[in-house]
Amino acid sequence: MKSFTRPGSLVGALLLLCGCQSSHYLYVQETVVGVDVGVGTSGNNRLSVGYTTDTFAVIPEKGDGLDAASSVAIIDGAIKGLDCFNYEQFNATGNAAAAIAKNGEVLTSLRETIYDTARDNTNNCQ
Amino acid sequence: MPGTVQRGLWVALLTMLSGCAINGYGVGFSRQTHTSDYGSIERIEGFGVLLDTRSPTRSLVIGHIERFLLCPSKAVALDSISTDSLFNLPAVQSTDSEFSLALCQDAAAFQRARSGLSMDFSPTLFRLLIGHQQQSVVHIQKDTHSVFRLQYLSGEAAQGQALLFLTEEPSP
Repeated sequence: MKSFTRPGSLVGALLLLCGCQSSHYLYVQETVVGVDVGVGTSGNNRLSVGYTTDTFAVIPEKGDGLDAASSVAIIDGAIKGLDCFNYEQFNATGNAAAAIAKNGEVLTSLRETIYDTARDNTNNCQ
Repeated sequence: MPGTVQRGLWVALLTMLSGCAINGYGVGFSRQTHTSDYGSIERIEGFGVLLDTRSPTRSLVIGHIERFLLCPSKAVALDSISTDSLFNLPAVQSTDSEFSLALCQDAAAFQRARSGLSMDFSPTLFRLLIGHQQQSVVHIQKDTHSVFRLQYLSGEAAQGQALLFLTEEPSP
């Protein structure tokens, strides 16, 4: 930690980030309460103090005509009292997401499954 | 110099009173793994200093963390997707089994709640957090296709499946 108090070291560390392009697709949902400082090469630099909530995607470079960012996310959480919390998350990316998104019946069934499962599990909490 | 020694002793004392772990192995942190047909889940929870050296969750946390990491256990051909595999979670076959990191580089989903001081390191991001963070991330290698389903039940157990689809038939 101490080395980062020197501006030269901090600049050096940040320079290590330069020139790197993300090789991964990222889908992020987050909530932060506090101080948040981020430096990156994927366009997700940040400086915030207090409460922030974000949903964002980092999309790697792709060739012309290729699927770059297909994504399907269905998330549900349900609580009962103080001790019972159930959470269901479904994510699909790429061609799998495109196939699901184009099929209305599957998409509807998936949504119902995710929501019903979270609620049922919560109702079954002792 | 005496101030530095004193601070070091305080840090050491606090670490001893709380916990210290690397990748979930250590004191003050619990690490559990669950595996099923398609995926492996690793759960790490505890209070203290946790150094995670593995992508995609590479970080240092001083404080409290609860983290689930879901990775596929095998890659299958893209055309093998079935509706059943999306709706039905396979039963957990074993717990505390070997957690395979092999495919975590290609596809992973993780959730984590962290309180305290956290730092993330990756080739494309350096991040410093002081406070509380609740985060859900899907992390997929370029040119792969994935399906994740993650279930969290009141902190007692978690199960999930992760399907990693390739554009071509996987090699036998």
